[in-house]
Amino acid sequence: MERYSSEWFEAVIDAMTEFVLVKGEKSKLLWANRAFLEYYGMSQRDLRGIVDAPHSDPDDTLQYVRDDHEVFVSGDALEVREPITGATGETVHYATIKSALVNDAGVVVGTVGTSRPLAQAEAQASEDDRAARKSTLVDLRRLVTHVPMAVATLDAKQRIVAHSLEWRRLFGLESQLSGAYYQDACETQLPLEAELTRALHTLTELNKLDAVLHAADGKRSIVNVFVRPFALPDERLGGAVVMVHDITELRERERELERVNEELGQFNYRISHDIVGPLRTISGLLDLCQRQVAGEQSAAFHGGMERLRRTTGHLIKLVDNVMEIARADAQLQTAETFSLEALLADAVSRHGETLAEHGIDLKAALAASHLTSERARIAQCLENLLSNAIKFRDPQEAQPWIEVKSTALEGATEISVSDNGVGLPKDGENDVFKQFYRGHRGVVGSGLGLYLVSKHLAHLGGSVAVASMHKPTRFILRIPNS
Amino acid sequence: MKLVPSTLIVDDTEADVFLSEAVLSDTGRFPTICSVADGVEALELFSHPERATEKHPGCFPPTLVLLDINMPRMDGFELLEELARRAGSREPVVVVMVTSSKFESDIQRAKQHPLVKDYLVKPLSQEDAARLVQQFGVDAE
Repeated sequence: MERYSSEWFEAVIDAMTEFVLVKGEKSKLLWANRAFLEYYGMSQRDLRGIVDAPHSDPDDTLQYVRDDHEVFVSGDALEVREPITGATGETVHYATIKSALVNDAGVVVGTVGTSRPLAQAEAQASEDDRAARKSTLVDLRRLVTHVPMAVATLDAKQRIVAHSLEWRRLFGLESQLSGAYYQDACETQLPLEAELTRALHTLTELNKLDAVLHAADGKRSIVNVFVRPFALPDERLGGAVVMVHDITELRERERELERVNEELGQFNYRISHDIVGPLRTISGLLDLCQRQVAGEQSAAFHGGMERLRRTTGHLIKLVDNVMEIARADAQLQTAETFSLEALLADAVSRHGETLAEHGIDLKAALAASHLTSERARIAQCLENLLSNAIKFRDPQEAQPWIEVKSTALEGATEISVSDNGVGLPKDGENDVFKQFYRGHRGVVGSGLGLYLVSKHLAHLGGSVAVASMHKPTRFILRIPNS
Repeated sequence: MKLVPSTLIVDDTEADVFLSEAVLSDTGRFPTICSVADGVEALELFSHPERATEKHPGCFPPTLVLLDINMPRMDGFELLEELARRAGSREPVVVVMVTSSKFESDIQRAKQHPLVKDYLVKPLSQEDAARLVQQFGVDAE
């Protein structure tokens, strides 16, 4: 053997009775001297690349890795007392010094540890520490194993220290995972390593919502992942608790609810549509019949016919309203710029006769002449408010009026409809927009007009409110510009 | 005096056809009124005038078509599409949609079609009938 050759150096280290153990990244074993190999009952080849021998107590291994990590992070040598179990199964306590192996760039790339057996008293102290550590770990594991959630605790290096049975079930894994790295055991099912590293490195909480987990048994789940890193008392990174919450069923039920809701809305619309057709036909036929017998029959007959017609009319209005509401929800309209003047003119022309008949003065002050929004919705709101104002006029008023005003605001348009009619009942202001609310007994109406207005405004992201209840009655619509 | 010489009602609801016919007849200005219950059948008759004349004498080609929207097999809008396509060199058909839908979007959609000249909501009233005479009647001497 040539002096100073690698065989020579190896022979020198092999001559030492102390253990010499060299490890690389992630505590993987790289090289050990003869003393250690004999104690461990393994060859150099057996050792290469593993973290620890199978005959070792896994909890001891966890501690070795923790200590290695400290050397890696600090770059300083670390003196510890540790139990090492040999091939025979006997555990002996050693004093180990772990030093950092540093490359040319000054980065820690591995550790070299030397170990000498401890004297009796110190060995006992080491064993006591070990028992305490184990007891804590046993308690921790018991808790974690039986938590009815998929939970795992990871150490600073992302090795799984403990996990629940639920975790195994969710990931579809058969075997025990303690001691395995997350990257090796679980990354394929739920990619998390990069985010875990970031969270651990910065000691910040991580919430990952609606992630996809592909279990080993093929099952696909939607999950919410919560990572909570924790520090040790000396402020070093201790590890992290990871909780995986299975929300697959929740999301499925949500989807089902949405589907059912939509179906209901469609049903509502279809049924109303199928009802309104025949109702209109009945109305027309009643008209026809009444015309045929005009003057011939008794007052009771004509009274009855008249009421038949009116009742049918109410039914038609109600069903029309119900359809409008179903459509209001389902409608996907596009916004356009339209003239408010034209819209109002349309509405006025529809009610022209009634306005003239009762001498109602309709005043318009449209400071904002145009509006960019969903035309049909605004048209319906205006129609409902106007027809209400007409319907609830005060017959005692000498000069009944209705006023429509529009103002441009920042990012929105305000439209107000006011009248000097009979107004709203005193404590009605909160109920006014509710379904089937009818302010005055005996007044004809479905009670859905204002409800529909509030629905339309809700869809537009705007609002409707009662600014004044009585003399004047004033409604204010706030419509955001699209 | 204005008359609407021939009127075709396309509607699958018999009661509505009865009603419209009665209201139109009452004005005395609609001498010939025929009806077809189905859009596909209506299209057939427009495409084969000889057959039309045989089944509905005096009706084809109609001066005015009162078209319902909601019909099985082929609805009002679909029939409009087909009629517009086959119009070609022939005189354009005059259509008024008569339907129980009073929704803005349906009204707008109907009015946008070149063949649709007006839109009426069921049931047909006497005022509606009078207006039809005004709009589409021809002077009869």
